[in-house]
Amino acid sequence: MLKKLGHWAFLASLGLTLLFGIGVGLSLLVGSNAHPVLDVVVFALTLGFVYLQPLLVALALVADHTRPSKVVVCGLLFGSWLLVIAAGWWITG
Amino acid sequence: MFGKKVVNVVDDRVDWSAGARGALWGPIIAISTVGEVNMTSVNTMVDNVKAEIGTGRKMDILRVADHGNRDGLELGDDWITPVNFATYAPKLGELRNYFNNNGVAHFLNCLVGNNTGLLHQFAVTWNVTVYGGTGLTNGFRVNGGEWVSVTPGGTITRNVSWPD
Repeated sequence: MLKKLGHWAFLASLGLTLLFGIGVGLSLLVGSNAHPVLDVVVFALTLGFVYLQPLLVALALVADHTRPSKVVVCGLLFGSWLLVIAAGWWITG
Repeated sequence: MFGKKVVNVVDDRVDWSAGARGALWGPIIAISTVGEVNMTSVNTMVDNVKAEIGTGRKMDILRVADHGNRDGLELGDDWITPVNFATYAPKLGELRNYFNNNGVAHFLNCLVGNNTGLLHQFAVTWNVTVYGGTGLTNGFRVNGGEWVSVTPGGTITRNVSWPD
């Protein structure tokens, strides 16, 4: 059960990172409120990435850390989260 | 029954003139805000906020996000200081009747809380209490200093909480 949950958490973490990246890229290109749906979706993805990403990565690792490749990918996913958080604190108006 | 009417106005353009640290601040604030109003100048700020309100509920909070420093603040391409405020006052004043009673204006612009004279000019023009931070405001909207409020009557209160 835990292994299955961890597998889904791993996939969710990958998907969240990918969608967050695409959403931010689109927002930078066309403006975050160029379309009301894009505005809400990117907002939700941002909240999800900031608050859920470390939990999903931790869950994926706790469930299964026997495969080195998966551990490396989890490390990269967590690193991307750290990078975003650090940038959010460093960037100022 | 209803929550407060908050209008977020943001210059969401990448601004390299603000340096590496400030270039992406506007887009970050815009990305993490739903239903924001965009601006590229004082004129577009005022016109877009008025269009957003229309004949609907007046604002409880006008939250402005652009760059700033101890001398002044940016609204799109316009840089406003106590010296040139009078130039922009007529246009800015058009928003005066779009605030609710007890409405407030909240500037996220960096360091403007140090310039209480400028905040007072906004407060008088809009007849609302105006808030600004004394430190740098980051992408999570956390100000490294403290929030300061200035009333139209000139009362300055330091270390106030985030207006919400």
